[in-house]
Amino acid sequence: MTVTQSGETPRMLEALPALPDADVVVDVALGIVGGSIGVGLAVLRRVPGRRVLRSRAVWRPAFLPTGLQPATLVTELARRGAWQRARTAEQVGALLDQWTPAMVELVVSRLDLTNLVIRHVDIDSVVATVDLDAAVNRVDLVAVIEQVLADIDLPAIIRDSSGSIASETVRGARMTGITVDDAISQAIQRRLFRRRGAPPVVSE
Amino acid sequence: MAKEELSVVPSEARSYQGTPAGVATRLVASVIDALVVGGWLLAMYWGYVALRLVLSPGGFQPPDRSLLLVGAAFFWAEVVYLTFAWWLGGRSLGDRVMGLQVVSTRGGRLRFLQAAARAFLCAVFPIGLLWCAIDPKRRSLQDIVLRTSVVYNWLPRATGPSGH
Repeated sequence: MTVTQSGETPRMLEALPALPDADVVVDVALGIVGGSIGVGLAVLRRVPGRRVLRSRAVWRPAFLPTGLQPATLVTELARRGAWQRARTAEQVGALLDQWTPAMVELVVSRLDLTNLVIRHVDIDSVVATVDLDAAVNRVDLVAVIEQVLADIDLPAIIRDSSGSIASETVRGARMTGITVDDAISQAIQRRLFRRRGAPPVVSE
Repeated sequence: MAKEELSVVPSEARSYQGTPAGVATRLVASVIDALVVGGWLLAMYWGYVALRLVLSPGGFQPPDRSLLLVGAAFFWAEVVYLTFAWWLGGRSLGDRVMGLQVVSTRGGRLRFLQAAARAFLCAVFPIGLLWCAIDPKRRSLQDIVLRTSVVYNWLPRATGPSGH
């Protein structure tokens, strides 16, 4: 990048469309980071092949005390790094545990999941993988059917559809009989026990 | 889920099933039984008259219809009818119409002798039925003597183990 006289705009930037200053700063920073990474990678690619790095004279020079030798320092750094990595992973995990449900809830509440699934998921294929026989075998069908029949009162439907005037009359006579039985029992028990002060005994 | 039992009995009558029946229902059942026995005797009488008329049309005379004979015939016909009805099914025709069942104290059907004794007592002293209006457990005098009970049972078939 060539810079002209002091206080003038670089030529490259003149060639670019007019950008806000913040974008220019970001672009420059990214360029620096990219260049640094490129240099670093080039060094890393070349250095490991050097025999000098594997020599004991480099890692354990005799003129240095053990505590200051590169091997000792690197080992200590590796130990600290491992500890730091574990601690960071733990903290990141805790943060994820705390924030993930809230974030997911936030995102999901803004999505039409049903529509998404309908458009993008082949539901027939999913259902084809389900063992429906096993699922049905786990259901107590007899109990379900009995409950349904009880809820819709099937006997009443059969009675209503096939019942004759005679059976209606008989049912009415029976219910009337029960009502009269109760009325007589209560009247007599009330009259009998009124003087004794005891409550009437209900037969049921 | 709360399981509701499937029953042919209407929901309004289910709570009464198996409970002692009252005097009104039992009285109606007894009247129906008496009418059945009376109709049965009348049919037999007219059948007998028709047979005599066919066999001797010239010298036909109506059979003796004294009150004592009619009463005795009705009494024994009632005893026989009720004995077999209560012994075999726990129900007479009147009981069946009114949804009743005669059971022993253990809830089963009556033994033959128990059914016969109950039928005899009912025929001899029918007014003993009225005691069930006063008795807290709705027992007639015959029920108290023979340790039986009459319960509501609207199911088509009589329930409970056979007593014989």
